[in-house]
Amino acid sequence: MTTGEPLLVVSDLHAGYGSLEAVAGISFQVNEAETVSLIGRNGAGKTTSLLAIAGLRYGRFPGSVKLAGLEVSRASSRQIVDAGLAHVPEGHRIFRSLTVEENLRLGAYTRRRSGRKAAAATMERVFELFPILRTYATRSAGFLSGGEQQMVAIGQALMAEPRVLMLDEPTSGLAPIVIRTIYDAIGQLREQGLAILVVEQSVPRALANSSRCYVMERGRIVISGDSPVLAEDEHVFAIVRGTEEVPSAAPAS
Amino acid sequence: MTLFLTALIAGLAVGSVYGLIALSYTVVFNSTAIFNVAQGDLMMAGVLVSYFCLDRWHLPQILTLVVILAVVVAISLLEERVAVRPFVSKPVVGLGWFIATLAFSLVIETVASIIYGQNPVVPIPGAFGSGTIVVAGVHVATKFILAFVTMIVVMVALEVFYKRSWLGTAMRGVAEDREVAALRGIDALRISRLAFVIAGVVTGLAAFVVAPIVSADVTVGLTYGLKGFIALAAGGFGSLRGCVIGGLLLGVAEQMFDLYISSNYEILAGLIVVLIVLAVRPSGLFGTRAVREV
Amino acid sequence: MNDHLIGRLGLDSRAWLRWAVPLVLIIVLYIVPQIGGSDSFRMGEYEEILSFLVIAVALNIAMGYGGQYILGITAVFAVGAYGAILAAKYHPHGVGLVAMCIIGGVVGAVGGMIIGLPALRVGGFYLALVSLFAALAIPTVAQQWGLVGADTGIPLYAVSGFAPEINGEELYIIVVSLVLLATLFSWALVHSRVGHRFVALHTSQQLASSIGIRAYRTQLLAILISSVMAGIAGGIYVYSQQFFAPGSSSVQFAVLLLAGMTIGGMGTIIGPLIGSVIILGINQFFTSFQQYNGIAFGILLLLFAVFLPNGLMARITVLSERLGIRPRAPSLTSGPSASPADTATEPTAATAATAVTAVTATAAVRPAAQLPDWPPVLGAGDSSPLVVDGARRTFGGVTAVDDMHLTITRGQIHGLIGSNGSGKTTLLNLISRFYSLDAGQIMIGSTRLDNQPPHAVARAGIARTFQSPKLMLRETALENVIPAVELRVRCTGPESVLRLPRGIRVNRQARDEALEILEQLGLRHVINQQAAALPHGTRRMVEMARAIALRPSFVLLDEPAAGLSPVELEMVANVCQNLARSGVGVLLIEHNVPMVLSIADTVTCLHQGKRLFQGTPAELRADTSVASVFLGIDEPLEASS
Repeated sequence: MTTGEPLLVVSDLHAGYGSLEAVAGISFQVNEAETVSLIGRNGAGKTTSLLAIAGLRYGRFPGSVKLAGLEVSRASSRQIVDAGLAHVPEGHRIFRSLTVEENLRLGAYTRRRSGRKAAAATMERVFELFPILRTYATRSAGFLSGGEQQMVAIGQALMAEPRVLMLDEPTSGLAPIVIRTIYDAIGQLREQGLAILVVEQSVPRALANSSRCYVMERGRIVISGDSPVLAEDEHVFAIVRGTEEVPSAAPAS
Repeated sequence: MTLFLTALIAGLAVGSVYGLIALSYTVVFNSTAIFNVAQGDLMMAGVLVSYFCLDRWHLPQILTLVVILAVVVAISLLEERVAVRPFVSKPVVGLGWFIATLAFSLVIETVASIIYGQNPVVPIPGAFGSGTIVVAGVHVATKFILAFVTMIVVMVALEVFYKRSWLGTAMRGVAEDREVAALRGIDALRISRLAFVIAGVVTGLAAFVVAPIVSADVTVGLTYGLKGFIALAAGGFGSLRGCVIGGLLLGVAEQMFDLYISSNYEILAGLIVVLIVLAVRPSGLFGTRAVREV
Repeated sequence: MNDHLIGRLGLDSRAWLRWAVPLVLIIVLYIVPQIGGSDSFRMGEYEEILSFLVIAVALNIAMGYGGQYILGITAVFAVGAYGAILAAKYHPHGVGLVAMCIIGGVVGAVGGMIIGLPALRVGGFYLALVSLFAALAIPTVAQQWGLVGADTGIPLYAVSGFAPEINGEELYIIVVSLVLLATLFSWALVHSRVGHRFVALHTSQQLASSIGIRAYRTQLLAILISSVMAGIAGGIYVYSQQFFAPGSSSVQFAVLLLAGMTIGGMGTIIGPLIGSVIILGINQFFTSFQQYNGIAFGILLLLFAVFLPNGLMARITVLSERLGIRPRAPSLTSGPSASPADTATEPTAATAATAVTAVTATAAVRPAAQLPDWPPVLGAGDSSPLVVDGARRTFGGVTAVDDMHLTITRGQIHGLIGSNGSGKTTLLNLISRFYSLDAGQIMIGSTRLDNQPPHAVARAGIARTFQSPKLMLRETALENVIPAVELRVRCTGPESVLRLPRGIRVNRQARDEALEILEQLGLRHVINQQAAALPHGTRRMVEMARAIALRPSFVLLDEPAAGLSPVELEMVANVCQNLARSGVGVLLIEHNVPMVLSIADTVTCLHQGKRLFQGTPAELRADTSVASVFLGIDEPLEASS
């Protein structure tokens, strides 16, 4: 699988909340038609990093974020969406009081000037990716299961026709069949040329579904490399589990 | 029988005003999940403008309407900037938004009484004069009909807006989750401002149609505000139809109370309505949503 | 204060300021007439302000602590005042200050209940609405009602035969004393079992129910107490002013009251008093600019609401911490697993550096080498298991739990696993009675639980924790656990509030038991820290301490391991095993499958609302169909995830 040009380039990014710095200078890139995973313990700064890249910053911090060459580190979230990046935050957050269709439509809000037909066409493509959503189109999104809501969340992000897609723990708490479905969809998107960054809690899952991987710990990237190589590296597991021992079959207790 | 009909019609007319205020509340509420305590005073300010335009300066009705809308929308935007925005951008804790909007209403009231001075309460000419139309054998003042029709039109317009338009759907989304909305490129700040503009327009219209019915009186802001809220509570938070039904219910209840019990204690009618409705159907007649936890 | 006393109270030399300042204020209050003038007009003004302060104290109890928004409490005041003045008008010889206060209190209570009862059925915000409307309606009605003098009101001074026995400076001193008494009462109330219930309920209804607090009754009590106090304020007012008219208690008044609460800060004892004095002072100052004072007020209120939402008291607290008068509490944290959403309160002090060191200092929950037994007290009479039989619950077309059968045996750990949406938490909420069953039953022995209110579940001996720890954030860790003990260690409300002998004994016993449990869990070092300042893992442990403090027969744990460090995980596992050893039935809902498999006696696996598997951990490990459906073929049961 050949990857294309770097669509997302992050250089020495800092981020945090007010005066508390949670991300202390990370650098990475994601190329066209590539899935990259970002792993690490709770609190390592993964979520904060993605939110900052997407334009939701809670304080002034230095760093550079380039989308297809365009510097967006000081841009508003609206401008970042226009520039082609969509972020799916963790927790399958959608608008529960709206229907599936309305949720998807809102994803295309920034493109509303292109008209309803264009939005409908994009929605059609989302339904092809997640066929089950078609059956629930007019259902209130709050009544869907967690996995289905996650599909709505991803579909909503896709409605803006992004070139870079970020997902924060898209499969946490979901049943394996649903996890499979979602990663299959991510795979399809990658084949269509999207640059995809996935934050994952499960190390095996992350490494199995990405070509490259970055490991974060305490606000920095401590390990990076090709996923198959990292899968053999015991340090990776140790860092993510918060222990320095290679994990045995049973947990310490 | 005619007494009953007269009271009924008057009730529907005044109820329409309550309904319009309730609709304004709902517009703000649907987009910010807070309740604007100053809405009643905003209407009263509009009534004051109406008095100046029609009684003092003798402007034509259409121009008056425009001026009212301009003034009320302007004050609404000011309120959004000063008293609401600080509370909507962070997760809501406690009474802050209530106090802030209450404070704003205080300022409006004081400014209004300074401007209006000691002038007595005077009647304001209606849009179609003081003529009447005969409906079902009863003379109905045109100003009553105008109030009722305006409310229905506004309700329908809002329903269409929320269901069909991009902006309307976006407004509903922003109320629920501002962060996700921001991630999808929806500017929550703009949306809140727009909500206040729309609410301002609805309130301005309410002022225009109620002025001939109640005359210029700067002290009624809070009363109308509270009654609008009763209409909202009775009809059910978050429901446009609820606003209409709640408002009409309250208006008619008041007039019936006037007629059959006593006109001196008319204000008790509101209390009774809200207590009965809440006892029977706690979420209001058409209720769907909960107010931010106070 | 001598050094010995300072040492015993744990104060440092500058802390005496904490006591000195209020003491000075109280003395000043008593001698105001000597300073400001003691003619009868002035005295009348002072006493008017003082009556106002009593209402502020009343509102603070209901709203600041109890979370009941009786914004229109001035309506209750008015009703009490009218009651008292009418009594004096028709029986001028028989009615004195005490009688007026009693009548005012009783009438106020009735008025408060009329407003409160129906509004409570619906929800807190409606109480605000209805009471505010009442505050508007009462003066309007009074204006028309001849009995109460209509617009002109009732001039008691003109009633022949009415001659107040106490007046002048004597009256002033008594009124001041009454205000201080009211304040003392509110302090005693807040720090009693009744006050604990108020705060718990204010924090979260679910939290309160989970420790057996009856929501409705508690809310009503808060409204009742404040109504009585507001009514008494009416009696005092009328006795001193000898006059009452609709204008004496307008909506304006309610707004002033609210302004005072906002500026001073609710949820502290002194805050509302300071705020009210300031507001009234400003009001007096602005009477000459009567016309414009609304603008000034409005702007002042607005500024406070936006910039100082917690009022002046919060600022003063910060200041006194900085000056060393008050011990500094560690504040804003971003511990390894805390998200910004966890830190819900305003930081009291501290820079980021301090916060980080605070985190490292408190994050280590020392595991107890040997935990003592916690034999059940609540629900111990029965030895039957907790049985869920055929439970079903749908939400708008989605069946969350279907035909569920589950038994939690005393003395055993029952693990419940399954992905999000599988119905685990719904099942837990069904047992806690936050939801009702569509079908089926939940029982302990022959006692059905599913038709009882939520608080009854706790009282039956079932404790629970929450996915996201629900703690009273402004209270200390110790204060969070005490209310749970108070469910078992009983005395009546008045005994606790008024510090009667049994009340003092029980208060102390509850505190000691709570302390003991926190120590057993290795949390001694955080007992006096605000819950808001604790990192996520510690909050979880405090919540577990609270559950254990109930000495329940069953403990339901909702994903306790989420976000914990390996050390904390070990503690949770130890606690579960110790509970089982003590004879408590444990239901452990978890995502951390290895942990569950290592300590559970039975495991149930849920999938999309149905029971997929039930058996021992060994059987689960051997069952490949479960593995393939639930866990995914490529993920072995033992892998970290």
